[in-house]
Amino acid sequence: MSESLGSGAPGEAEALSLDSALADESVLATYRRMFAALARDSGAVVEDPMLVDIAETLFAAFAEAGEDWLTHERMRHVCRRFPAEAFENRLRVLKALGAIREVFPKPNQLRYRASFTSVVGLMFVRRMMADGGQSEMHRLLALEDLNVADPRTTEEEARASADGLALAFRLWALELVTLAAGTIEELREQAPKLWGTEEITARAESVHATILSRWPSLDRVCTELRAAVYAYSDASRRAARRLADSAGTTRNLTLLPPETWRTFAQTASRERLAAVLDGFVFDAPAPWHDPSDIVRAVDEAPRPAPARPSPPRSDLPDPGAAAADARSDTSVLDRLTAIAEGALGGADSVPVADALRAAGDWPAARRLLADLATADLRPELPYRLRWADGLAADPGSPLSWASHGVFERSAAHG
Amino acid sequence: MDDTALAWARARALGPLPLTPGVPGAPDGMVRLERDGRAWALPLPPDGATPGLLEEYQIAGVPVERSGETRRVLAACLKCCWRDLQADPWPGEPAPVEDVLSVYQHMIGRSDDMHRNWALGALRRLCDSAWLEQADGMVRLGPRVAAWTPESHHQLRDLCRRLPSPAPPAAAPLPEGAGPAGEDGDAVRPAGASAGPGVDAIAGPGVGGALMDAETGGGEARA
Repeated sequence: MSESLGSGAPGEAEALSLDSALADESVLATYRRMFAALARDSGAVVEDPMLVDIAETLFAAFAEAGEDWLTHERMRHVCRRFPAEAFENRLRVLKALGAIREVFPKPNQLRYRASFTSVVGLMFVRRMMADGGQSEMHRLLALEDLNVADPRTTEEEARASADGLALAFRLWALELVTLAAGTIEELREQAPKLWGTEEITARAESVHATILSRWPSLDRVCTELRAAVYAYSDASRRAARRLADSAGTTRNLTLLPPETWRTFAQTASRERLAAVLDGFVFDAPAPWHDPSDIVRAVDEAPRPAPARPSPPRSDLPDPGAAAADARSDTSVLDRLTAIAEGALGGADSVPVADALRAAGDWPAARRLLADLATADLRPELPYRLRWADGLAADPGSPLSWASHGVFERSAAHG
Repeated sequence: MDDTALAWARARALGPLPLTPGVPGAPDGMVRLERDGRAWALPLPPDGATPGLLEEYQIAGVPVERSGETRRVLAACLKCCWRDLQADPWPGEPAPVEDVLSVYQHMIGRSDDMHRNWALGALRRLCDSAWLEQADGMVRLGPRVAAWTPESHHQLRDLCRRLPSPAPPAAAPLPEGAGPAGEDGDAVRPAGASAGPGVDAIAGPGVGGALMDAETGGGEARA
């Protein structure tokens, strides 16, 4: 990891030899393998966390399989909970980047092995996701501390290490500064992963002190490192203060974790606690009603909807819709009763075909049938149509065919 | 402690200070108000500065609870208590709470119980802050209305002319109310105002109400 940090500026303009090309290629291969788990296709980083999950599942399976390695079928089986298409795509990318390779480089190889670098890379990535690199920086600083104290370390290595650390701290501080100037929500979201503890600063200073005492000639590099560390702790403090300030002034209690508030309440001095209520007026003056405000309030009063004028009425006497409805209803019933009684002709039931034939021609029969059906459908009238299965055909008559059925006065209504 | 400073602090927190009636004098910078054997000291900043000045400096004043409603109720009280529009609103006359409520209900065009209760709440808040005084079902303007500068009275006068009169014209105020009504009718619109009291007296609240709505509408259009 220190390597990747240290190799920030590889821009040497050396003559391209076969050897240097080979060295470049091996470095690139390490990078590729390291980030293979994050690659969406061979050219870009994943967009869907599921793709990383597939890689992780695969690596776990490889670790379990041991020296048996894994065949393609076994890999598919292990990843059976993921869609087949995603799995195949993933496997192709991982193979292309060298994270999963044939056990022996020969054609038609069925067994595969996983690359150690990729697994380590994935662990590193997972940790970065969880705490945004802060604990990584802790580890890195601890390692660097050991490295620079190691008697075998050369001056060049120490210089590279100090350069890398200075670069990391500068970028870190820059990110914090950007956040501190941005929206408070973003700051709250991101900053806790970024801002440092005393411990990080102390560790960085100890690395710095070790380098400076062992290689006084590196004082220029060390000055850079020192400045970067101070810039970082400044930015970190500023971000923290901005967050605390905004939490205080907006009284948005969610901006800081509850523990922070509790600690403050328990440890703050009386003056600081009292300062919380500095902006409050307890004997607030009575509200003022300016004459112009009163006028405005009256003008803005909700107005009732104006009563709509009713549409013009005709001069003719009009009993109204309701009266017409009621009258027509009783008259319809009367008419239906008369027709039904006429069709029955005093009997309790009469075949429908006979009643229709009695009506004469088809138009009249048709009207009669409609009225009988209407009477049947009126529950308040005691007449029912009861149909049977038969069908009588008589091509000569106006009623050329008729279903069998009777029209009757229902017993229920007497 | 300095007596003047103490008096101002007290007035800021508690409103107009009650004074002993009959004993002249008031703390520095305050004006002495007397009415019906009671006296108050009202802080009156120099040069006609009022808290309304804060708005010019774009500073938020003291927040008013349900400001629109409260101010409409205050306007209704003004309409009822400020009978003589040529004089200052202070001291004003007492008016029945029911009259105030009926003016308010006409103003907003709602007469349901909910709005009535809200109006009663606004009345109570106005009484708490000394803008009004309320006792025995009667409302009076409170000492704080004397803090309105004379220059701002014309807006309120116009407002009171626009507002509908209390719905049922009580028998007692009519004869003495005819004078001011005729006067402001002359000033604003002679026809409507001269017809107003007469029609009310003959035709009762229904027609009067309709006429008042029309007057309110006219006033709004003019504003």
